[in-house]
Amino acid sequence: MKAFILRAVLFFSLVFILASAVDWLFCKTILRSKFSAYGVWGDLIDKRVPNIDMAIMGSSRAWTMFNPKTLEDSLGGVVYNYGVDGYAFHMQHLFFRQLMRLNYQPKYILNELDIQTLHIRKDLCNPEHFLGVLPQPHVRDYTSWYKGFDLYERYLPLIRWSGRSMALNIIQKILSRTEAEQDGYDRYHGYLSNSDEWHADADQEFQVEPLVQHWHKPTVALFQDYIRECAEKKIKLIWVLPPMYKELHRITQNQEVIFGHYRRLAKENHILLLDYTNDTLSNSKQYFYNAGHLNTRGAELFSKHLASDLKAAGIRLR
Amino acid sequence: MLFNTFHYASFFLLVFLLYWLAAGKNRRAQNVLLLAASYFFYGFWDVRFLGLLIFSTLLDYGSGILMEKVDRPFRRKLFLTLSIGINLGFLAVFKYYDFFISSFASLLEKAGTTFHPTLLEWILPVGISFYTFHGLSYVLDVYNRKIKACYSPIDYSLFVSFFPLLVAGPIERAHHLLPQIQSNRIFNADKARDGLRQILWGLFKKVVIADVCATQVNTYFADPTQASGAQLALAVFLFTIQIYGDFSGYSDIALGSARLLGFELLQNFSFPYFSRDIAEFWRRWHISLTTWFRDYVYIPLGGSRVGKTAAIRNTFIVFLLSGLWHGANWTFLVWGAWNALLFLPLLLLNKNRSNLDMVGANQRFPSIKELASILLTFVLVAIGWTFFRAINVEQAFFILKKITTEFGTLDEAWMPTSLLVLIAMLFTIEWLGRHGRYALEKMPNSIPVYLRWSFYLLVIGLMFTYRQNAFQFIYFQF
Repeated sequence: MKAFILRAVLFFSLVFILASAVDWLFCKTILRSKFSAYGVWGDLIDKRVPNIDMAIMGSSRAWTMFNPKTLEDSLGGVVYNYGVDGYAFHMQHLFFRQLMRLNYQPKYILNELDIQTLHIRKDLCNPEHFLGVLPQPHVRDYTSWYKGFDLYERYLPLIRWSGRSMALNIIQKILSRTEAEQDGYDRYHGYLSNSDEWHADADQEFQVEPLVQHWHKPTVALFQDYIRECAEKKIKLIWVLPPMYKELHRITQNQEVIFGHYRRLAKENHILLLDYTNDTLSNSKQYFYNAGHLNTRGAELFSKHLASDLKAAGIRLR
Repeated sequence: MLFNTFHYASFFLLVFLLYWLAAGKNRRAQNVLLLAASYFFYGFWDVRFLGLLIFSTLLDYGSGILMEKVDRPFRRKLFLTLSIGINLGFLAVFKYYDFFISSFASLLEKAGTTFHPTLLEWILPVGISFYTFHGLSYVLDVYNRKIKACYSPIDYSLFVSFFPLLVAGPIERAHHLLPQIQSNRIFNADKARDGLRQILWGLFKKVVIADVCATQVNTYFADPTQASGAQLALAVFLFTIQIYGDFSGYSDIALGSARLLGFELLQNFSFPYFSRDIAEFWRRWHISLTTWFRDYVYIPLGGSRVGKTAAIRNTFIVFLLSGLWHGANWTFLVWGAWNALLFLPLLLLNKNRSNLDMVGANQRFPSIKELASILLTFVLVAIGWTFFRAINVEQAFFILKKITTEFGTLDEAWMPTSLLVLIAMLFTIEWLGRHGRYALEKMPNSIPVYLRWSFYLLVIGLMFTYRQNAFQFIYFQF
């Protein structure tokens, strides 16, 4: 019995070691990619963009609407957009945590806020984006709040890559150097606008009954801690409520309560809050590809507008 | 808890360690542990049906004892009838009621009468067909005085519910498994190693072969009208492989798991796709079900020794019942009838027992004649699987018609080249290992350990590469 167990332990240890080695190779390789969120994680973990002066954080509305280049041209310094597709503040906070862990402290953090910021989703959106960084304790901890990776995928090497064809294809392309896998998908400092025009499907967003957006209490508490931690670390916060197509205003019944909460917090903590929810851009579909997201045309105009307002507010990065 | 998940791996590891280390050599403690683990395993699927399993177990347990204690034939028959009636009653209600009542309604509708039956639409309890047949074999054997009744409720419950075979077999016999449950088990490292190897091979067949085939098969069968004849032929071929990989893979994992716990279960598959005729195929495919029907239906009906007409009748009864056992659908009945039709000529010509040994017993390769027989049998079996897989009989006929009349071409983009390579690998290894109970059993010990381990690592690597969402085993639905 003892001999059998020892032999089995030896064999499975070998499997574990080999799997860990391949896992490590996969992580390293995928972080070299510039494709989609892999590039953002790679820039962050491998510190490919040093000395960030301003970090933009938010949801997909951040990464598709806030152009760091426009802000850099206007304010000087280096701006990086850590907007994360599909997530509210809880997952956005993961990037803040990582920045702090890597001792990568920006002077300013610009938070994109919206009606869903203090909400939390149940499922793990785009789990493939976390494959290369899941072994990191913070990432493991934050993603465990969502239904996505099971216990085995979180703690055993290599398992989580299985069946993830998109990520494995990228790794294969990088390792075999057969194709420039980043063609057409590389972002500038995390930013990638969407050039689509408004499409008919987007109109269906207004066909729903008005709803109440519920707050997730742990996220509300995390948001408070975040404000306090930034104040302690002398990181200046700037909050932005970006444009949303005018029809969207009537969908969320408690929109004013939520926005009022942000305004009150901003006032209490001396945070600059810029509200573009009723900006002139909000009146025309030509600037949006759907009700919540500006298209490239709208994003460029909005970024210029934002840069100008930040400059007017005395913000200088260098 | 599917066999091809880490949940099962963790569950089994825990049971294995507790079984051998904590329960030690105490047989009673081992059996209690295995019974508890089996009920947990079953409850993990759907705890609501655990009561049904326990009720069925107690019914057969009590019937067995009562049949042994009374001598009057009438009373013994009464207990047998009660046990069989209630067991088959559950099966009828859960599995067949909706099918028969709706078929009856359709028939009336065709005759011009309208009848709107109330359908139960109940979920089928997992493994009901399997554990019902375990119980039936036990009460029939006790009634026929082939075995003694089991007086230990723990031992009998474990016989019915032993988790490796609980949800999809093999369908065990009391005379085979109960003595193992009632005797001391001593850990045997060689058998344990063999068990692990069989589990590995079962996982390969399920994860790498069956599940990858399933992706393609599901696409084509979802809407055959959009596929060419060639694509449908490919789908039928892949389903033929899928169902083998799926079910024999399951059986390998079940047998391997049981062997690690010191039990030998009945062999369920013996390289069926190397069969040279349909009779040989049925001696090699789902052996535990085939022999069950042979022993409890075919032979009691007189088998083939009661004249040609009765033999034909008995053959049809067995194959149709076998089809119906798989599911309440006309597709399964047609599948059963098709196999009966293929079997009959062999039976009538007295050639149904002409291929009793393994093909190419003393040769490296089969002869041309053997190869042709194997291919022909494979094609005939595959035609039957078309009915088995189709959602209805019309769809199966549509597919077969399109394959034969509008073959067309197979778009190169749809050619699953890597899958075909894997299938070739499967059959090459199975051919090399065809003299064992499973392909890797006779893996020579002369092969250096590093080479053996490299092969195992390769198989594990393939499982990682091709692992998709864990598809449920096909036979769980039966």
